[in-house]
Amino acid sequence: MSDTATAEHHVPSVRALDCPACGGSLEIMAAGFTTNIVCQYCGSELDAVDPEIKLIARHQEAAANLEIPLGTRGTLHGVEWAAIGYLERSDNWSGWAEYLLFNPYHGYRWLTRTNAGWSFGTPLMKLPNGADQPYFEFEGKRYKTFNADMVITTDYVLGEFYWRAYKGDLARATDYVAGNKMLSEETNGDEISWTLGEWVPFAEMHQAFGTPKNREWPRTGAAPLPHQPSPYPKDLINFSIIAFVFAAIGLALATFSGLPGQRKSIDISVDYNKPSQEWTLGPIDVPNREGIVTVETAGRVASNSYVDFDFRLVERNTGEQIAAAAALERYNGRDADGDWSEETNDATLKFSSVPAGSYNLEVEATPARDSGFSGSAYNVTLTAYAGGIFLSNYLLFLLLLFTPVLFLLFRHISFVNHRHSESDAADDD
Amino acid sequence: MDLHCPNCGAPVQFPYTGLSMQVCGSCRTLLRLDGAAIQAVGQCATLPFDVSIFQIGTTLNIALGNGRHVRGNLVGRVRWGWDQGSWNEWLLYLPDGTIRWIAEESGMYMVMQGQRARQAQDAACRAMLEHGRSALGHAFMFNDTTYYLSDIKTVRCVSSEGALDEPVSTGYTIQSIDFRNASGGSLTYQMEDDGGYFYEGYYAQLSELDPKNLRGLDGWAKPDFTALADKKQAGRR
Repeated sequence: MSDTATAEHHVPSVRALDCPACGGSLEIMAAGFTTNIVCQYCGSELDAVDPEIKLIARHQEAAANLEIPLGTRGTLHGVEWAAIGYLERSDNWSGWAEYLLFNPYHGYRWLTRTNAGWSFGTPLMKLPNGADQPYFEFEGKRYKTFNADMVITTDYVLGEFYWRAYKGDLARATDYVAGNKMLSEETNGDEISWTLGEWVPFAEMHQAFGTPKNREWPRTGAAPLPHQPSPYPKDLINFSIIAFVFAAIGLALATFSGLPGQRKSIDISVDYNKPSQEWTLGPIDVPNREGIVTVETAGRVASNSYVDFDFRLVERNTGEQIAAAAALERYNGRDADGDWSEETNDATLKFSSVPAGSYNLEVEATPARDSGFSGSAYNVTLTAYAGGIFLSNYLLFLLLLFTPVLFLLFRHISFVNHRHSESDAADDD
Repeated sequence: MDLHCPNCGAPVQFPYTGLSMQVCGSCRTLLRLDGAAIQAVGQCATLPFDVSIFQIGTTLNIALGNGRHVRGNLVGRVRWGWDQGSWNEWLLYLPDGTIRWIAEESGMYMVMQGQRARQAQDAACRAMLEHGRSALGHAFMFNDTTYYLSDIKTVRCVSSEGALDEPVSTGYTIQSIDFRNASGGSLTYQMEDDGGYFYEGYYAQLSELDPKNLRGLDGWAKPDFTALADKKQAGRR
């Protein structure tokens, strides 16, 4: 036996024949497997079970314009496939197209085209394990029912098939989904067949078969395929990492540069019998080019009164001044609803953009009393120090950082919801 | 000893111990070697053209079930047909003289080993044949495995070639039941002239069979499974 000679020898891979109805020349790509042909020229149905091709039904209709003309070859996942058959099918809600792919060394595959995109299907030799209903288990993955018991009609047939495909053929189908994989169970008469589907991006299909490079969801205008992976998690994770890193850096910088300096504190006694009193606190050193000086005022003032505090931050050498004000108050009384009270017992104030220097804080307290006031002097603690961060600024910074993260999260949730919207189970949860 | 076809006189050989049938390469008469005598026992039609990737001389590596593998030779083939299609079954001859059948259908490969059916099992299968298609989905225990009936059909030999163990030539017709189990296993029952036979087997990917000397087909690249195996290994690392 001359093994090497036979190894180099190639035999023709197509069987040429003339359509018995229209005479058009056809090429059978899967000779020996193909049992049924619908002529590309006239739409007539041919029986190819026996070597002698028989006419089943004569038709005279122009072939549909296909996105992948039959006979086109394309490479997906490293294997070259020829598109040899085409079906248009529908259930009660929508219609889609299915291409039968063939490679003599790798068998058959499916390409399903819906409004949402493409799916590549592999017929299964192993049956998924349905012992744990409503789940199906296959190769370690748990598949959940997505759509059950859809009735599918075949509306249009073109090309060659390994079974009798015909217009009006009915099948029952159930889809199960696990992540980016879909198991489809189809029952046609006595035959039960299982297909494992995976989503193929438009860009990949364009490269393989020259189909239009459409935009993906949401530009498709249709809900994503049940097993189409959300495109957002990767960016979501990346942006989250970036946001958290910068948030941490920002926090570290703010804390470090705004590290509180030495605290200066005095307890003052506000005398309500004097129109105003003054105190001086210091020195407060601002070491950096620009800094913050925080002033905390705390104390309980007299009933039904308020005390205005005017602060002046005065540079001890240049006399340069920055002014600010705060107030403490306490009111109470009785009305139709009963007793009420309202009081402000502490106030924090920040001088921002304070130039470097050594400062004194001058404080002027002006009490004001209303009727019902009683008492004379009340204690207030004043504390001042350089440093402290503006929480509002930091929050704004965080908001900017996390806006893309929130946006992506929103998109992701929207994608998942849309993907789920076509499911039977969409109403349950 | 030179042997010749009693029909056309062409030289014939019976090189495989245990395989007493041979289709004459010239006139396609099915011949049986009986001692030193050659008898014509059937006639085989010309095999219709197909794009089978196997040919006589292709070798396949199959699992023996005990973790070991053995490489055998494809030395014969039967093409079976039914009312909705046809497929090839190739006879794989192993070095120890035993055989397996490799069914080739829609790009799937089933490695099968035959054995005579015991009486009770034979009776059960005959009953299922009586029920016809209403028995679809029925469970059936075989060798401690639960199988489910997936197809019942009458199959007819379209033609044969090469060396065979039984006289199967064009027109030979039998009833057959196909079972499948959840883990990719298959079981076929055939009611043959001398009783029932079971063919138990498993579905295999072509790559798992590590084929050599596949048939070349114009315009198609033969798969390179060594590259595939390397890739799998690399992926595992």
